[in-house]
Amino acid sequence: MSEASGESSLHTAMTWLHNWGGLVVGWLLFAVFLTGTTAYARHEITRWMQPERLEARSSPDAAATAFATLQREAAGARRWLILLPGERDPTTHVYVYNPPSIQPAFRRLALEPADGRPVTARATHGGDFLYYFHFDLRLPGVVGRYLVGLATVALLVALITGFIVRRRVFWDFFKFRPGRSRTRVWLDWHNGVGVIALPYHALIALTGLVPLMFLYVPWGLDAAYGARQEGFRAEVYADPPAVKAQGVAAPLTAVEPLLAETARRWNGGQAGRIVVDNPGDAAATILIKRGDDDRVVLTPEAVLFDGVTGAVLRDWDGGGGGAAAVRGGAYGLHILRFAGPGLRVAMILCGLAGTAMIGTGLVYWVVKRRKRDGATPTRGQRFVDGANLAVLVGLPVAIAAFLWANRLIPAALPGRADLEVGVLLAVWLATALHPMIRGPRRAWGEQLAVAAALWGALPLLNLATSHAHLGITLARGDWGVAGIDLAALATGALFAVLTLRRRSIPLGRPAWPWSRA
Amino acid sequence: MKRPATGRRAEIAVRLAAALPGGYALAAGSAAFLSLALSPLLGRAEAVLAATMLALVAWTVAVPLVFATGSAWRAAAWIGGLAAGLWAAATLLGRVG
Repeated sequence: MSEASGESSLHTAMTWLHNWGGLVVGWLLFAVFLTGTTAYARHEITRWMQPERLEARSSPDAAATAFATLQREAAGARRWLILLPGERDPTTHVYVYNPPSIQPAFRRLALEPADGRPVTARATHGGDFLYYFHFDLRLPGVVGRYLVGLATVALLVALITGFIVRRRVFWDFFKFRPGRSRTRVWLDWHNGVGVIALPYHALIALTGLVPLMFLYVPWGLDAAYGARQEGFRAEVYADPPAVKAQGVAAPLTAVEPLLAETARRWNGGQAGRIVVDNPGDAAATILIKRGDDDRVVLTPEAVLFDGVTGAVLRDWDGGGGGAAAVRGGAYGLHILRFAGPGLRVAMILCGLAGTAMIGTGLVYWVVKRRKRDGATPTRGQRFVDGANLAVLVGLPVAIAAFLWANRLIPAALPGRADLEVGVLLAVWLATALHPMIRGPRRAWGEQLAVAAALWGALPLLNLATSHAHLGITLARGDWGVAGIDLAALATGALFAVLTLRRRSIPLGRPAWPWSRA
Repeated sequence: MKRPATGRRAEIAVRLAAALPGGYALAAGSAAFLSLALSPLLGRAEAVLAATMLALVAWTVAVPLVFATGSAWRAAAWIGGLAAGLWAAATLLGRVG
């Protein structure tokens, strides 16, 4: 094999892998990227979806008020897990785990930080639904997590092969090409958003494997620790094994002095979560873990206290070696809890660039084959065109429907939180069936128009149905909630442009035989 | 897209097998071997963290290499041989340690 043919066969192989590998995982990756991007605004979306709580604020008393409420309402529990409120999420979230003698075995509570009373707002999964969907697709068990993990590896492969195939593309993007073909637009955008935000794409894909890496590759942990992995979990995650209750009643110590102690140890760093095991028992322990939003590298910083005397039992100071720091840094960079508003908006734009890279790549796959093969597409090409529509436009339509359902389903209706999710899934299914009934050509135009209308009119719906609309949120300077409405307007505008220009781009054109029916 | 010939299909199947199950076996073997081999140097927890992250990188890099190699069978042999070797070494280390 000569040098030259070796080079070109490498190019062919990498192109093949990029085109087909990208196609197979592209739809899943698009959904993961889009919902993952919304996760940067997870708490803001939840605040938009609970307009009754526009004025809710975090409170320094949140831990104490939660303790008081739980001692009243969940005294016999095995464990309380308390997620303390923050600036972006002004709610104390509590998970109560009960011993077998108490039913139900598990309870979730949402408390007002200032007084520990239950939150009284419309029930919603809020931004959390999209956040969880992003890594488990809301599928039962671990199936979704495995699928997303595989897709992440495929994304890294697509980035490597794409870079090999299109090394010169960065400059192509800026080249003046007056006579460039219409199909070429999609490739230019695919390469452009891919290359410009390449460091982001590579970073987010690599770091995305880290949070669940022991689910994906447990073999190192198994080899080194066997069945006794408690020591590893305690050291690396600051999750010490729970001690058994003694069955002897003893009052729980007050939490404020413990918080003062952790703040002193962390130079003012704030607590993020509190794990209370065996509250009210002589064997009670209180584990206070540092929050994630005032540091980048998330190595364990935590203090374990005796729950009766308040004595320090164990201290994690965030030390550990280089590998722990790399893992903590990767995790911290991926979930980005430390980001202020500016960086957060920048990362949302990068996430959208990644979403667009995947979406334009999928569209180009169809557009290029349509141009090359003429007006007789194969069954496979038709399928890809329909699936593209259902994912690239259908998912944004479904998310818009989720937000519309939030405003239109009565606030007091039982089961409304799951109903909102049901609306999202039903609308998404409808967007997948739509091209089969109407034909892709008309379906593209109609769904793009629906997406433009639903997103563009969302602030109007908000105005008509809540007191958390732009007129109020902008006046209050509440950019978190206002940002959701503004993003909806921008999304509506984007889909309006695509609707108007779809014939020249060309989306769903020319008419294919089956679409004339 | 022209239908690939039977020989080409078999080649693609071999490469896919080398890249996906093969690549995963390589990651699993690297994780197990490196966790045990690095433990005396770094300590157990550090070794496990480093090994697991390196294993994921190994898989990611292995996939394009499998498709870049001239012969599909040679690629499969390399991946299979490396994965088996790493597993064998890990088993040996596990026994000794």
